[in-house]
Amino acid sequence: MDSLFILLFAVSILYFSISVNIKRYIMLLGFQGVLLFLIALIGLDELSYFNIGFIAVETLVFKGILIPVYLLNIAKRNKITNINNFKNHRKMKGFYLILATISVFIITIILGNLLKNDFIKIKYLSTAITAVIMGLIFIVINKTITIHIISFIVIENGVFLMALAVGNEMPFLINTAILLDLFVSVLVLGIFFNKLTYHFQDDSSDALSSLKD
Amino acid sequence: MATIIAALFLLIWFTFLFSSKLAYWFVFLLELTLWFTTSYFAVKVLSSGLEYQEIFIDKFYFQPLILKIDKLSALFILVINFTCLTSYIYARKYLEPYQKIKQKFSFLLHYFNFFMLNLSLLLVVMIQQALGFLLVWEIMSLSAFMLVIFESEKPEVIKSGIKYLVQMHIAYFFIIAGFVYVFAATGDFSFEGIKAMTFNSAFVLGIPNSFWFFLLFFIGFGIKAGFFPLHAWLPIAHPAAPSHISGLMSGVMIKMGIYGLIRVLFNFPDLNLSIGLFLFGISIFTGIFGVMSAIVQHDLKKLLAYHSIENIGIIGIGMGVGVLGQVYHQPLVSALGWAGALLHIVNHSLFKSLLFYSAGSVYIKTHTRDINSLGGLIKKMPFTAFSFLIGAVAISGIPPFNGFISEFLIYNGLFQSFKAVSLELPLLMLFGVLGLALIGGLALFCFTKAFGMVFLGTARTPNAEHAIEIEPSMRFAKALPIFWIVSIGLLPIYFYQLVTSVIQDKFPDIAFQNLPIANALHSIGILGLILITSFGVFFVIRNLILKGKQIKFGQTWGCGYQYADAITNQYTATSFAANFARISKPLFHDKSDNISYGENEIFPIPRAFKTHTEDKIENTVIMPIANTLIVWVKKLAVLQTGKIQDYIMYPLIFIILIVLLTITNII
Amino acid sequence: MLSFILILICAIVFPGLIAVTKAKFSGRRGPSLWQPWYDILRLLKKGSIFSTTTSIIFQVAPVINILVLIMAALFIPFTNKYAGFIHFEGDFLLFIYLLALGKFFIIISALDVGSGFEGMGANREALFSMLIEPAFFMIMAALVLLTGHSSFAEMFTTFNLDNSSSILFVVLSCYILLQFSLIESSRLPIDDPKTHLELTMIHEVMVLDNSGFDMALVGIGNALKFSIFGGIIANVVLILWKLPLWSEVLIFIAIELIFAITVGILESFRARLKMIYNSQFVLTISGIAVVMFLMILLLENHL
Repeated sequence: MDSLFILLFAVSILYFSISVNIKRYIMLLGFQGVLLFLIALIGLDELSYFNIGFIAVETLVFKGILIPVYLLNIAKRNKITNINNFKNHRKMKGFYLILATISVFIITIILGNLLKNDFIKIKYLSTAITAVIMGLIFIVINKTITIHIISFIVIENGVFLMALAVGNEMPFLINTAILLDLFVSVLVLGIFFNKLTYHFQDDSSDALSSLKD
Repeated sequence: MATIIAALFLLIWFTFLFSSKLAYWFVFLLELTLWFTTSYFAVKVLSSGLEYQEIFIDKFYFQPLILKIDKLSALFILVINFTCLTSYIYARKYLEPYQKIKQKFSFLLHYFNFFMLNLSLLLVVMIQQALGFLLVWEIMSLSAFMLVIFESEKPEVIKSGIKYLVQMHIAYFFIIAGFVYVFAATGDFSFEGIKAMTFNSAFVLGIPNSFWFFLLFFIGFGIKAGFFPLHAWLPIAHPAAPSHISGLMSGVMIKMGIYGLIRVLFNFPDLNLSIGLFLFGISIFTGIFGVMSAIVQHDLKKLLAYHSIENIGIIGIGMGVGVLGQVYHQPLVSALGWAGALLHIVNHSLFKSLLFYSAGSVYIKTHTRDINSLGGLIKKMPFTAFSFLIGAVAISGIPPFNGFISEFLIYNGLFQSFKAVSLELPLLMLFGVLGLALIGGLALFCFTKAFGMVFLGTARTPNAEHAIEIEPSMRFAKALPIFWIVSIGLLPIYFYQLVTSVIQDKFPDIAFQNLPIANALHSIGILGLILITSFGVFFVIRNLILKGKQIKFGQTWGCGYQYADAITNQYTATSFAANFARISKPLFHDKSDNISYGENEIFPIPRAFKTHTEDKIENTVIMPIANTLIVWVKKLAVLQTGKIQDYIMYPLIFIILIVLLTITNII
Repeated sequence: MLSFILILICAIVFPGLIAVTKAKFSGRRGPSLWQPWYDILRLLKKGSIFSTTTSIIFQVAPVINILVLIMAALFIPFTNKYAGFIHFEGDFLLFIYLLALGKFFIIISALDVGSGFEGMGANREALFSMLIEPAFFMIMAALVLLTGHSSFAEMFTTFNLDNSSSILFVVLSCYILLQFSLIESSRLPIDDPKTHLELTMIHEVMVLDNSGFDMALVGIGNALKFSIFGGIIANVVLILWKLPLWSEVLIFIAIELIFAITVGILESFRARLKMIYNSQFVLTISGIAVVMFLMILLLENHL
């Protein structure tokens, strides 16, 4: 059963690469959060109630509900709808991103297979690495801060999945670290972002370069 | 056989005594003798299963020169002879228009070289001793060069010819290096010597030693075959050559590279993963690259040349499956891969020569190869259109013709691997399935474009409008490959037996006759027959039904605007490829030259608009390397002072250096 | 043979059912279920008008297309009970390449009329069908992986649902096949058969100049193609259970009808994609198929 969720997770990364609407991105983030909860529930053998509660809060509540709602709120307030502009359509960005996702996925599986380690679940690991790499690629090729935040959360999801790949239990430390990361990134960036758009009326990170010393 | 070949070799020199017309028939006679003798032995070897061996020259320098026909050579001999036959028949009328503008001697030379090419091709597959092999290999390259530059009054033809010659000699160097390596290691200067090679387990750059040895041969034979990135000569030399020579080169000569690789791989003692992966990967890339380049190409013969690269890729995929199957100990996978590759060699020689002859017919009657200035030729040249259509369907790998059969075998090898319980092999084969599926789809895209734009619609230029059908002898030359294309498509089982008998020795445990695939091929043949007959019946019924009804003829629907110019309003090859060009932008750049309006240009002057496609890989990867090389070579040219005493000085320095180094025990 | 007959029966109601569903959802009374067939019958009786630009290719193509589709329908097995009329090792390869043969001729017949519109449609059809082709191969590869056999009949008879990857396969392959058939039959979201602008059409614009008998053949071909893919989907769904024959026949027909209604519903609520998104969309379906295959490969090796 977990493989179905993993697969859906991989497909959601594919979906990321062709989406244009900010709403769809945010919905996908929420979807990934729910998926992660289900994967963790099935994948982890040794779960205490405390752990379940913590993971539920982290994935379902934060990743699944709070962050998407918060981001949607920001998007609405700043009137951001489309992330890709017309120029990107002409460049067929989505097309290459799909190709990139598939090839990254296949390569990670091949590399994961080379590890030949019984303790590591390859399907978890390769999907996780795909998520991390694709998140990085999304950040590299996009200018808007909004998508930087979203991609960052995709990377966080990948890291979460990677932690699941390694062992039967989720180390408490990793959990807290991820949660802290989320706080710092999303909340601070959100506030920062709210203030910025107030000044620049544009969410392109180009404007930020004018702030440098 | 040796005496006949020697006699023919002497007789061919008399060609230069005849008039050009007589010379054609004289060479034809010699060719016939050659074809019959060699084919007779080839058929005998294939039917009896025994190798044929004959000593040609007792001692040729330090080796005996032995003519040896095993089953692999026999298969190649038949392919060579058949393609040479059609090519030679086609040549007579194809060269006729040149009679007015060219001297007699160039015709004599052409026929002479044609014979030499045929002879050397045959000897290449018969001789396994390296010295003789290298000799006939060189004769093959040189005679092909002479054939390519038939239209030598055109500067671009000479230029293409020289490029071809240079690349062939780079290849030659690598092949020599490979053989010398074998000689140094085993003392046997032949293909057989590879069997005795032993590789230590040393790794160079993390890759086993044997791979680097294979790479020598791969580069040497790969340039001949046209694997990516060694393909550069193919799209240059093919359009420059006369069409029957393009057909011959593409159908047979580039297969000599494949032949060499097969010989090396069959004799290879230590096939390992790196070799298989390399061959498989580069073949997939070659296939996809070739067909993608073909789509954005609008020169008909260049398009076909790129398709040769694609088909080399498909053959390479088959060989890669063969090697990988062996590496992972899946004999069935391996056998199907090899069988598919061998059958595809036969198939490609058939439909590619047919396509080149058709393209040549179009060229000789319209004097243009640009797809964008042709059109509507099906009404003027129905037979040419029909033959091109057969070739197009066959090369796209679509049933009921032969292209499908060989792809079917390779596909089956790939799918066979999914039954194995392992992870790596299916993962690798996945790429093969995706690659082949993509190549098939792209080939369909490309050949609907080529056929549709050249033969259908309205003629785009007066040249195309006044074209006439070609002469009967050329039609006959094209009918021969069509016959085999259809018969391989409808009776695949016999050709399956043919190619599997070649590899039977390699896979003694497999009973090829009892494999389910033999059954499948039988069904495919019957289904193809049913498809063709039911099509005939149904089409007749349709025509009978239509007969009783009112049939009207009118203009093509023009969106309510009936005065549109039928010529300019149709789709062009460039626009057909446009949406593909957009998604393949990282590889190819569609460049359009247009002049923007000047500031004070109130009444615009007439303008022309032109588009052409650039190969980005060539521009960004190959050209910078070549340019750097040129810069360095130019720096070396300092030595070229032009003074005779300097030139004498260099060998003197060299001799002194050698002596000094020997004395000091450095070398 | 049973599945062939069922496919033919379903092909008869298919176009009508889609039209009725669409009409109901847009609040119209809609045409009769048999209206498409009245149209086709009318076309069969009519005379033809040919463009003077066309050649024999234009007249040959519809015939080849319909023949190829009939032959392709003979490959489809009936769940795990009966093999298709034609079956042998690797028959799915011939199946998909037969469809390609039909497509090849339809494309060149569109180019035969020498019109800009039809060239445009032909070119799009060629591109999208090329990009979607890997998806079908991946589904078949996954089936080979799961069953260890490589013919339609054997795949469906030896499929067992013991492992979790089978359910995964059924769910995803249904989705992929649905999208695959929508793209192959040129329906929304790639192509809108009811659009009125030639510049945005794909399949419809390719047959603009066909008339009379040939047009009727094209119409029958479209219905048949849909029904064939519906048959494959029905097969994939039916391997979930082992049922008696009569109920399987009923479910087979029901799934085909549900498939038609689904298409109708999708077309009622979905807008056509911008042409520029199409290749991305098509490639995504192929991408999902590849991901599915990889997952099943990983699962089957129990890593």
